[in-house]
Amino acid sequence: MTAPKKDFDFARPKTIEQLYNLVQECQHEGRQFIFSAGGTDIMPNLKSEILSPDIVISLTGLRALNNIEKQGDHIIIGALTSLSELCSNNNIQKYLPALARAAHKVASPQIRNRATIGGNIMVENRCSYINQSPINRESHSPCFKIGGDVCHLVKSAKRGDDILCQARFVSDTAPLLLLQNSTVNIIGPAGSKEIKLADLYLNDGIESKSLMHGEIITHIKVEITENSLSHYEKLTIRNALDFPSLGVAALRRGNGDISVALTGLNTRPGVFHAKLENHETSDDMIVDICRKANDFTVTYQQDFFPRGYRKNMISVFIRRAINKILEGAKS
Amino acid sequence: MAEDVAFKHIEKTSLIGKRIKKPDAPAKAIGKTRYINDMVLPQMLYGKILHAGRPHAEIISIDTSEAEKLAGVHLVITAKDTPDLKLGFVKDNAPLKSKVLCERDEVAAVAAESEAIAAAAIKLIKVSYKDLPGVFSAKDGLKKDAPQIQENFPGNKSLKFKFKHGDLAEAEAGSDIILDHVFNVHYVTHCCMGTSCAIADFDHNGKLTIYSQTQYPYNYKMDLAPALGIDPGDIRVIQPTTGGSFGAKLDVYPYEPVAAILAQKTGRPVKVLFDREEEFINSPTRQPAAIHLRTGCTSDGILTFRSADVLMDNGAYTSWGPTVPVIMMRTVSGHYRVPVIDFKAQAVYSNNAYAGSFRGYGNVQMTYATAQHMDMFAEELSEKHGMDPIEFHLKNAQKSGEVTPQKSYLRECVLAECLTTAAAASDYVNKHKTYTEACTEEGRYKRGIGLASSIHNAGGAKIHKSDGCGTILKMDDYARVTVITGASEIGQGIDAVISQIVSEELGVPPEHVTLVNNDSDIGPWDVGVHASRTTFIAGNGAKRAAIKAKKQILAAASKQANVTAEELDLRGGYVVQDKDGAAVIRLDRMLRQMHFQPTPDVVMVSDYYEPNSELEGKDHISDHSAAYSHAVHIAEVVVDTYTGEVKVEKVTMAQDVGRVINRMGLEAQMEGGLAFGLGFALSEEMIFEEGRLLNPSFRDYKVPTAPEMPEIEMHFIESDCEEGPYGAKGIAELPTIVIAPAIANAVYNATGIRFLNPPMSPEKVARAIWEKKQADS
Ligand SMILES: Cc1cc2nc3c(=O)[nH]c(=O)nc-3n(C[C@H](O)[C@H](O)[C@H](O)COP(=O)(O)OP(=O)(O)OC[C@H]3O[C@@H](n4cnc5c(N)ncnc54)[C@H](O)[C@@H]3O)c2cc1C
Ligand code: SF4
Repeated sequence: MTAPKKDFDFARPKTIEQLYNLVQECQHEGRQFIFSAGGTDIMPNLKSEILSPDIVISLTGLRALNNIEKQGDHIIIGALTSLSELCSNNNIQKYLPALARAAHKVASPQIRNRATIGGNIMVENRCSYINQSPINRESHSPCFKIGGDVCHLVKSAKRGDDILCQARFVSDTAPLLLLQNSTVNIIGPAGSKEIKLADLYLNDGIESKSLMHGEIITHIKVEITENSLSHYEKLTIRNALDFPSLGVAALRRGNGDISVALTGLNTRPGVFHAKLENHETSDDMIVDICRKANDFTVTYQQDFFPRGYRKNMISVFIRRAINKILEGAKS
Repeated sequence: MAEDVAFKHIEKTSLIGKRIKKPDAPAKAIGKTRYINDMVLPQMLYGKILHAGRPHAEIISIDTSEAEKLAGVHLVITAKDTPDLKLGFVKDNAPLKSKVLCERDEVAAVAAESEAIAAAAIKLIKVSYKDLPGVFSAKDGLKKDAPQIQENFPGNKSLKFKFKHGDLAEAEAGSDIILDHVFNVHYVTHCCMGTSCAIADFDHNGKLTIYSQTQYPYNYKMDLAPALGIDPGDIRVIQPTTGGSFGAKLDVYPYEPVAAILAQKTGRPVKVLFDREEEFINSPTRQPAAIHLRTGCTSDGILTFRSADVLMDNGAYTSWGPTVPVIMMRTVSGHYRVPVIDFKAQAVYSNNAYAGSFRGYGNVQMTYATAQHMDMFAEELSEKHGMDPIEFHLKNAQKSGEVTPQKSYLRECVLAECLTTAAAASDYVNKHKTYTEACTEEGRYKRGIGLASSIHNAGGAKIHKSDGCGTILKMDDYARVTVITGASEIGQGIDAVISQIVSEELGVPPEHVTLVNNDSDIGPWDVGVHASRTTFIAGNGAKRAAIKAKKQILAAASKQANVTAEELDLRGGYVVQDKDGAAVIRLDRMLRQMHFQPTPDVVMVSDYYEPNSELEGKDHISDHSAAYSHAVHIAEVVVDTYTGEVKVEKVTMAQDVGRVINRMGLEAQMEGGLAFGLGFALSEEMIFEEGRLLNPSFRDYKVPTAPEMPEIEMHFIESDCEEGPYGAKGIAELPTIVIAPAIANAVYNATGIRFLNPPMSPEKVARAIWEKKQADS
């Protein structure tokens, strides 16, 4: 895989207006387009021919979308903010240190320099079949996600099922953003809107995001939760360059309530809450949240850790994340 | 006395042991180096190979017509255009295949105007296959009803090795403890940053120039020629900068003759370059092996015998992989003092990938077993008889002058110093005791410390009739030195070492030494970069050539200064009086005076250094290396018993290096070697399903990254090897060999569980801990 196999055009509009003129032009001429921010997710997918657009429209000309600002009890993060910037930004370190940690756990320094937060929450779902080279894929028949009629992970899957494709959600930053009640600002040909981040995610690995084609995320608005502590833990074989085989963000509120969000398992992130007042001890609360997480999760052989191992690690990592918070609270 | 030497005194100093920068490092760091992968020749075509992608099949038909019609395609070739069975150790391989025996098999090849056209053309070749039942393990290959893989090898039996010494039955009877385990050592691959590449170019006289990453350019000609039907003398090998090799390029592989055949038939230069996935699937692996090891010991802690029965999956073809028992048996017979030896190895053809040579060459596999047996003995003797673990190792450690059953003569042997140095520096005995006690206690995180050692050849390995290296040295009128050596530079650092050695002898700065070593038409013969031999052999050659040059200069100077040559020396760019360093004449002046006289006396010397080792014979009894050395690694780990993650926190190493030459290069070799062994121990594994590689990418094949590297404390023990240059020994393979069993022993110390089948990946460790808990309760 030295170069994408299909040639494509490339454009970098400087303003939203230019962007939508171009989008309209493409729609009018029937040219397939995709958006690129840091390009670190789409580039491998172009090379392995999972994506084959006629034109790649880069969003990096929209300079105004590259900023981090505190507004009252919210932090506003421009979608084009790089993960490196996110890791080192004062406001993030002060108010959302676990988000900085999660961003730091993505890929490698070089990739984090290019990769954006917008791209990270939009990162394409993955599975061990689809994320192979075309040669390797060709030896199987094409799966649902690329227009075929089988799923190589869930052999029994058939058209008409609730979930056709089990490609898993892998964003490292989304879990924490979800726990912080984040919303995303979107603009599109039809105007702008704000939705909950949770509503961005859908159930199926093929259409895994609710964004309409042509819409872009401009900002993410993150709530600063008073008196809360949070943490992110990630299961990988190595400490760099690995997608999460499992990722756990945990948040403990001032009143002792705990919330947990998972990535790396299902087709969408999972979020679970437990209230201290409903449990006798805080350990009961953790047991409860682990049970909820386990019930929600269906693991498949989507990476090279056996599925059973990943399932077993859910409780281990939830406890690890919560313990780190408790240790932090003590010190 | 000329003005510039008046009152000038230069003291004798030495560069040996100092840190010398690798001359090519800055260019590599800033991306200026031009690797073979970057090269483009005028008129060059791009070759691309169609690989079978299935493990075992008959080829019913190949239709190349569509590919040939594609604009920009110059040629499509298949097996019928190429010579048959002319490659490999037993000539069982061919450039292009008429029957498919493994996933990588080269079925057809294209030469086209661009990479993209070549890739498109490959897709247009239509092959109809009839799939055949396959053999996917050595065990299955030996079954009576197993399909025969190679026509000329009935029963699928490939290479076989044997060595016996002493009376096994008697030794077993005299043993108080006998350990008996099977270790399964897995497939890993080299992961060179530069993928495989060859550019072939014929001239009008039929002479082939091949730009290659080979690490053995001279014998390479001999191996490549039969696959092309030309004379080895008609091949010129040029080695542009290589992006890593580590043993992967110690043989000729099909893509090389394919490039040459395409060039021969099109009359244009042709480049074949693998992409990363091709590299994973189609380059050689480390030889996997099932090692059935039995070792005996008395209750006094004296080893009585070692018997090893090794079963190797040969894969479909025979490259260097299945020859590794030659070194495995040296470990069985030479890793500590073992009086009775019984070694057997059998390689069996299968439809899997095939192995080549790989840093450590069989010793990575064998030491994983022998060093764990040593640890098991130490544990048992300490538990039952209160023996100190280091004492057990010391009792069995050889001393200088001892000879192993295979007649490896350990002239300078400092295994004992390596053991005591590493143990003291890491506080091994105390920590080991503390962690052993803590092992059965409650608690999530367990600490462990593990010791392993090994022996390896450190003065070449005479597996060819000559293990030598030629050197030509010339000096110009400005006292700049050019050294033309047979030794290749594949990143290991011989460039720095040779300039350092020559500078030491001739008193010129190392930057004034230029190395020429990448053209087989220019360089004198060398057997190649392997067996940790280059500093030892080529270093000796360079030193001897420099001494000849020095003699010549001092002889001329002695006439001028009216003293004997013995009273003179070369220092800091001057000829000086040896006793007080008083400058006699500037070196460049001296050289000009020698040159411009009625009978010119120009410095152009040569040397061929042949080590005093003995050829490895069929009986495997010979002193096959000019030196042997030992290393000890002590690994400290933390095991998360909930997740099975093993974190290596610190490694203390003590290695017999003979003498430090370039300290910076040496440290880099230690670190790099350790990284290889770390990946092998913990995370790297080629996962095969019915002969097909499931993880051909850096995403799924887990080489360690920077955060995985432990803290490393290095102790270099200088045994002062009589035969080595300035006392140096070869060093590069031991760090890869010793680390994995040290980690395994540390994990045992932490958890009480032995891991006989690497890698110790989190889920394997977690499962084993869980199973142990079940069994204990
Ligand atoms: C070797 C490697 C390792 C990696 N490891 C990790 C990891 O550990 N964890 C992890 O989470 N990711 C990982 N990634 C994936 C990727 O690098 C990150 O998710 C990154 O944050 C993506 O950001 P980007 O800006 O590069 O996205 P792009 O590739 O530019 O875009 C990704 C997707 O998001 C869409 N998009 C981007 N910006 C917007 C926007 N503003 N509005 C609407 N849509 C948008 C694009 O159209 C595209 O569909 C890895 C990638 C590589 C190559
Ligand atoms: S999970 Fe989705 S991407 Fe993977 S094989 Fe099934 S359908 Fe294809």
